[in-house]
Amino acid sequence: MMPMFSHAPTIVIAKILSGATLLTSLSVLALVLMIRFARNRREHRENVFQERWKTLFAGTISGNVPQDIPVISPKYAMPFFRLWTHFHESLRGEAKERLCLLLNRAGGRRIALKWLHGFFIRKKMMAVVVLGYCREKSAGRHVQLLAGKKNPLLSLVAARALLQIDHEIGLPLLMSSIVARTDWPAEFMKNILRDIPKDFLVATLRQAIEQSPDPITVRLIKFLDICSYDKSAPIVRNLLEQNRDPDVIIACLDHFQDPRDIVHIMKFIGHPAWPVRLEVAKTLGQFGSPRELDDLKRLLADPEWQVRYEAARSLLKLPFVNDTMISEIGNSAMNPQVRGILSQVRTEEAIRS
Amino acid sequence: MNSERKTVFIVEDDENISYLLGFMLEREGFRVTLAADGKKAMEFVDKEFPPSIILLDIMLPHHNGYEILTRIRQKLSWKKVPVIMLTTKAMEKDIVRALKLGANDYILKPFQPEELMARLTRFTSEI
Repeated sequence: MMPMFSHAPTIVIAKILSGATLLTSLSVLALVLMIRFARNRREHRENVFQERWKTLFAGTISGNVPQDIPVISPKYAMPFFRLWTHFHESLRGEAKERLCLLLNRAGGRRIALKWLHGFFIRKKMMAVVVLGYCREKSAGRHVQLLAGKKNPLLSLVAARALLQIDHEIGLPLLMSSIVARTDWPAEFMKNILRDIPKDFLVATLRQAIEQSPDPITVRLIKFLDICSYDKSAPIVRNLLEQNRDPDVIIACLDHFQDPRDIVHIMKFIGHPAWPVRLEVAKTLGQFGSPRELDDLKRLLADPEWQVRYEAARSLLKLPFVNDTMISEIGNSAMNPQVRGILSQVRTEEAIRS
Repeated sequence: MNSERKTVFIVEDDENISYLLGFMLEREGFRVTLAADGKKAMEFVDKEFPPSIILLDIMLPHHNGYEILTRIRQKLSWKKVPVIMLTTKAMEKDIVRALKLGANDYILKPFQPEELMARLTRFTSEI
């Protein structure tokens, strides 16, 4: 009899525990099902909503903004904005203006302005994108504040919107952030700057370069790639006339694309900093002429091996230099390092090909 | 040929863009057929009569635009159908490949609806 009584509390506890586990599992399952059901319903509602709006968008894009447009409720504003931005980003020309008119008539502008000052980051970002595309001037000041936020994505999206709203005010304001913010990817930034009228962009960059210390100048020179070479090359040539840091000189030499600039490049062939001489060697490989052949030979005997290596690679790239010429250069060289580096680069080329 | 009878085959995986293109072309009197991926496009090319003109995206699931274009140019009945390629600005260099494979023209995305319609009409008016 004793064992029965002694087991009774354990059995009761086990029963309670298993019951609680079952209840918890059922509750979690019910919760998951409810969440899935709610999500499916929301997705279905959004799809129905988007299908209805697609026709209005397509009509607008095709040429006519309907007069009688339903006003969107804040509940459906996010799917509306998603579809709207998708069409806006897929099109060029007047159709974009018509989409902005549609957005305004549907009450989207009002909602976007409200979201811009709201709490939720997701809604704030969407509002910034939409208001930027519609060049909403009344949002400019707040968008400028957001461009200064720590969040890299929000600030970058806001920077783009600010330039879309008014590039003449926005670009000078953003210039310090463009060079200082390493969390803004340079390529993304270049894509944003490509939309700015080139004359204005080059003038602003020139002014910033003239007023910046060397490390910032190096970053700014990279953005000159977006501008036309006719406009950007004089800025670079002017920088090379000044006594600047080797990093600035390297960035300038890297910018050159025209063989006529070889005269500016050759000034630095004997620069005391070897990275500058290396850049000269690299540039000569891109557009050196037979006139610079002796200079390249000189770089083959440079005290720094990386310069010798780059000079040898450049020599092999030149269209007017053939195998016989390279052998002759190697055989006639007094310096064994010249023969060594030429032999190494030729072997590497043979393996590659 | 009456423009109402003209047919256009749109191969585009972005359903919103293909809807938009279809909407615009139907309004202009075209009969529109859509394919959302390379596999469906290939099946259509293999089984159906040729359309008046084709709008063909390059980046597609299953088979890309080049493969579909090659099949189109290999099939006797489809061989002479004008093909306009749709591509993004980043893929602009690859358009040379499409032109070598026999594409007649190309439109860069983002596109201007008026430009697309003008180019399309230029080809269909020659038919």
